[in-house]
Amino acid sequence: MRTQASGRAGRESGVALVTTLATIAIVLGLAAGALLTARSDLLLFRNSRDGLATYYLAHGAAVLTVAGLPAGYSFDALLHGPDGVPSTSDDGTPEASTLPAGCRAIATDDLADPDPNPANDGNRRVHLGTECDGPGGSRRRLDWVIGRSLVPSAPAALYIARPDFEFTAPVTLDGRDHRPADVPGSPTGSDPPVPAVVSPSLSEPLPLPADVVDGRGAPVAMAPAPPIDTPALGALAVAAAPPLLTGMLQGPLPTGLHLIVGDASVVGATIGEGLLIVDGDLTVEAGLDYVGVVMIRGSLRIAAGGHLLVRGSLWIEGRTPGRALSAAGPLTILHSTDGVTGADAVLALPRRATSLSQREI
Amino acid sequence: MAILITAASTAALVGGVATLARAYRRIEERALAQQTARLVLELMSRDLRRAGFDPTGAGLEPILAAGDHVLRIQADDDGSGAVDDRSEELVAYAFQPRDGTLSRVVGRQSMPIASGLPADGCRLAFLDAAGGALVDEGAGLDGDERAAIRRVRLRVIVRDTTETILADATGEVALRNRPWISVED
Repeated sequence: MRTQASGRAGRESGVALVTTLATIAIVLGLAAGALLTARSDLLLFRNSRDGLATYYLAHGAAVLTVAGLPAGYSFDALLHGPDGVPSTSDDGTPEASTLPAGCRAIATDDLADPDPNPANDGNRRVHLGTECDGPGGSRRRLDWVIGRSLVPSAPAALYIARPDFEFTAPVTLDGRDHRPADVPGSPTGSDPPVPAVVSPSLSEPLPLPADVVDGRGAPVAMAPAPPIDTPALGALAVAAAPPLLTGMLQGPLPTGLHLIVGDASVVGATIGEGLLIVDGDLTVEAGLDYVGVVMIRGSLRIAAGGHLLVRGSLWIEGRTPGRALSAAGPLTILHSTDGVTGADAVLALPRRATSLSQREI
Repeated sequence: MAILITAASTAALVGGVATLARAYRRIEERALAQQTARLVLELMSRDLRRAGFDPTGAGLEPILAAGDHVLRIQADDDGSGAVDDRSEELVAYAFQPRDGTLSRVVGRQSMPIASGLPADGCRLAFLDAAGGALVDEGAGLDGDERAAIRRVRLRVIVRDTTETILADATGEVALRNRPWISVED
């Protein structure tokens, strides 16, 4: 027989169960709601963050690509791709090593180009498209219009395309901005300093011998830099048809463009100002003091008893076999914006690529 | 007694369900507010980044109007050398504090992208190269001031009817394009 107490207890257990279940359901519902809120907020923020990160990845890809392009004139080489041949599958593809992982870039001729051939850049302006896959499956595409900087490129006191050198005499490379009348080591120019020496053949800085110093007395390390299109500058100089100099230099040179086709030697004290282009090797057996840019497409050799002072910038292409630079006599290069600007006034120097316009597509 | 307990349980259950429904509505409101704020920031950021896109070097001014409640940008997207005022090449944002509507005006077509915002729900601040604020004194920034703009700071606030903030999103966008004459390394 059931007692009254046990019967009441049974009925109360049923109510408690219902109440408990209802409470749990409500609490679970509220918890699920809170979770849903947090999750939707998280997803929104995550998508926004991923999209922004990918945007800047694509932006960085474009910046790196532009920074790695040679200083030059037209963008034909970029349009032709790494194989240098137009109308092939790699057209418009920059060097892959400059791009972050997950990014692609391609250059195309712009519609405003007066030259209708898409493989030729007639107006020194092209589109650079970059596309990057980023975190969370996001993807961003940018369209940059790139052109040439307004100012001539002078990346360092010494630019050497092939870093093959030997120094047995004092070498001073000073990247601070000198006026042409400044004494070495006391620059008065106002432009920011540039590296003492750069080379496009390097992927990381390379220390030079300890006795190669910059103007402040510190040892110099050679830094990587994009190439300068020295062949194009050489071709422009030939096309300008200046009075050709003989290969034996001595005495003062008139200010202007000085072009020597073939090898040259400095056999007597020589001074000059402007742009000096030697299409072959240059041997300095006496003193050469030059204000402006000296570009040597072959190699430079400073003999014992000779010395070279450049106030501006010295560019060595080193296309001929052997050491690109050997100095048995003193070599001093003082970076000078005035000197470079003066050379640019004689003949337009190569310019770095720069962004003219950009958008996200 | 049992009836009372059952009634109380049922009332609690109904109350719980009602609370749950309110909570879900709140969740939806918050999610919608967040989406609205993010959408506004995303749209304005994209438009600001392409402002002044000028592939032919025609000398486009990126920002045609800038004020506390208005922003008007242009871009030559198709590289034609001109801006088509009937297309997305000319985009404006206009905020009406009285009714809380933020509209995106494409060419001549206006489309509300957020409504019911509080009077301070859309704030634009224009910064110069030094990071200083260019202040709109009522008539919008003049030509020189607009030319000095380098960054735009955006803030979108969404509130409910009780003035509780549901979403508060901020962003800052650097202008990418300026007339070519000023492009330097």
